[in-house]
Amino acid sequence: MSRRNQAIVLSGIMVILAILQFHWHWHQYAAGISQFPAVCQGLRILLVHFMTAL
Amino acid sequence: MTLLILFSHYLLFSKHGIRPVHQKIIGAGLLACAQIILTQLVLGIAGLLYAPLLVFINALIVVIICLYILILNKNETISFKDEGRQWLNGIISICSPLNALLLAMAAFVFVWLSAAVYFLPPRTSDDVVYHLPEIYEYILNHKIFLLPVMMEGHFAFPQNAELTFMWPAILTHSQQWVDGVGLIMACWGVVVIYGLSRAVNITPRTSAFGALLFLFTPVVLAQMGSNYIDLITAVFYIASLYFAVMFYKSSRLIYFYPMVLAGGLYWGMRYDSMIMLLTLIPFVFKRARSVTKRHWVLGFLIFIMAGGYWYFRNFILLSDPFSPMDLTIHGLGIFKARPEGTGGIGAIAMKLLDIGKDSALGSLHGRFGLVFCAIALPAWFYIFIRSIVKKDTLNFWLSLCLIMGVLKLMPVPLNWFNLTLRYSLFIVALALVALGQLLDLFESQEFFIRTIKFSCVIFAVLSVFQLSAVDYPSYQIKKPVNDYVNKHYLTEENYTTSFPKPLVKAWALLDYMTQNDPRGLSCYVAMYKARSAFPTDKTWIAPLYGTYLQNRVWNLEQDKTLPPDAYLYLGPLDDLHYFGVPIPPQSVMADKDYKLVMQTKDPVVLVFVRNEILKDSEKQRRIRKFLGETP
Repeated sequence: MSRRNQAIVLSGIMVILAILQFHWHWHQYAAGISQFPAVCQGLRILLVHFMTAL
Repeated sequence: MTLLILFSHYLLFSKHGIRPVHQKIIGAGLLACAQIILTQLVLGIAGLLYAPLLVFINALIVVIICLYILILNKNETISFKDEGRQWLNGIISICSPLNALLLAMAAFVFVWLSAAVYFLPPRTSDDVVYHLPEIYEYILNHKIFLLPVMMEGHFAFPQNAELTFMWPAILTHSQQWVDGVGLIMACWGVVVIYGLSRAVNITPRTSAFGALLFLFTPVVLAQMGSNYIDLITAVFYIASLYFAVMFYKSSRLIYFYPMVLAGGLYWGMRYDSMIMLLTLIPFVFKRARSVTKRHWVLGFLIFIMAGGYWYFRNFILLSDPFSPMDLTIHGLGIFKARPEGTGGIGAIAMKLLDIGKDSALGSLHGRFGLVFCAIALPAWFYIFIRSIVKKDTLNFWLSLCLIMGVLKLMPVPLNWFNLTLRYSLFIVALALVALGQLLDLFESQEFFIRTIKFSCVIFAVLSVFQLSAVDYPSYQIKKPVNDYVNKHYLTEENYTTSFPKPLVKAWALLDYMTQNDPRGLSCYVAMYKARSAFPTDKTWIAPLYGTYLQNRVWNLEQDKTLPPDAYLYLGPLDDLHYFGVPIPPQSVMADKDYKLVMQTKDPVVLVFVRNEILKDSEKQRRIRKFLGETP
């Protein structure tokens, strides 16, 4: 099989596996995306605090 | 001190003619870990585990290494200009827009997790049940000894990995940075995976890409700020494999001894390491004749000294070097005599499916992530088949290491399987090395390569987002940072979310009231395990030691002639699991020497403190302040 065809087969497998992963776990990623701003806020508060202290 | 140790070993590798920067970093990291672990072990066994002495001995070793570097082969000098050039060349060789993006993201994660390490306490079950209490006991008693295994069987486990946690704890005499070791180990792990990728001839850029992706594996992200040992053991296994591959390729002793040392340290970290160490044999066997008998003997001695102490201790004290493991076929693994058994042959398919399904998301128990499950695993399969077709011995044996890592997990009972995938965390690194090989092989298929690389970066970004939703342990830092800035930050123990809230409050109270008192309190603890997947006979003890290790756990004290200064009970009180000596709460209630300072109803938590201690006005003020400010 040529490299090109091998790449096509591999891509197909990877896409299927990625879709399955998203199907099983998307809610977890969505939860992460919604809670991520709180982490950024915490880091921003810390950064501002240290910059002010300096 | 740690930097000095690292630097001296880096120079040592430089002096021995090792040119690539990554090889020097891997070697220096390994020797620094070995020095830290073994000096603590030797001083601990001798009963001389004092921080000043530990620092002195390590400084002495650094001086000896520096003198050795000066004396050894005076013709070959170390040029810092040369070193700078090597670093610059190394950095240029890995530069690419996607690598820069991954590096920037890694820097963000590093800052986030460093803040989490500082503001949040160790907060996961195994950490507070046995990984940390044992090293705190060693520090407080200035010796390494076997804690009562009747109270907690896990105390008998090999503890080389825990000794890496002990280093920041003993130097700072606090818990503050103890959960930061994983963060450093993960960074070193990235260099080790880069080294392994380079050893199988992957280009520097692709090697760096694959190695950086390891950092964004969800379970790696979740374990970086904890005291679980899976990440450390995975990195040590990959380090031993890296040196084995380098030895296989070059037959040089400079790789043989680090391989033996890394293998020995790994052996002293967990029992199942012995299965994985078998995978090094093919690499060593092929080059066995290039090493003389003298070096074999010396290598064997180094291996035994690096990891053998724990087995020897258990054999002498418990007549079982593998305590508390059960080596019968049905209980193989750490789950001694579990009634469900391994699930038999029929369960194997379910377990393999679970690796792909990756079901333990949201905690440090599992989740290898989208990159591994969707991209790296098919890449590994391709490389494995290709190695058979092309009769590529090196890649074939490397691929078998991943299979061995999966096989190792098969005896684990089916219903525990998703919690134990982390034992073979190194398979992620091996799959990423295979991904690097695939990327280089398909270099001509530009669209394919670009799509894979772009997907990997997107998946890595998603993993970082997902870390904010991980609740075991939580890495949400907004509340502690807010409290710190507004001067309401009393103790890090206040910010644990993995345990019942009233219990956390009791831990925080006992910590806060003694933070300025180096004598601290000797605390008795008895608790019913309120909510956990683990058996009910576990006691969460580490938070009782306090932020600055100022308190002691009375149950574990060797001299029990003095009564406890404080009692902590987590109910229901009629169903308590006593940790060692049983002292029912009713008898403390009837004792006029003690006063009830905190009580909650659901779940029941009682904290009693000796009246004599409460006479101290500062302690009274702290109790009032804490109970007034903490809801």
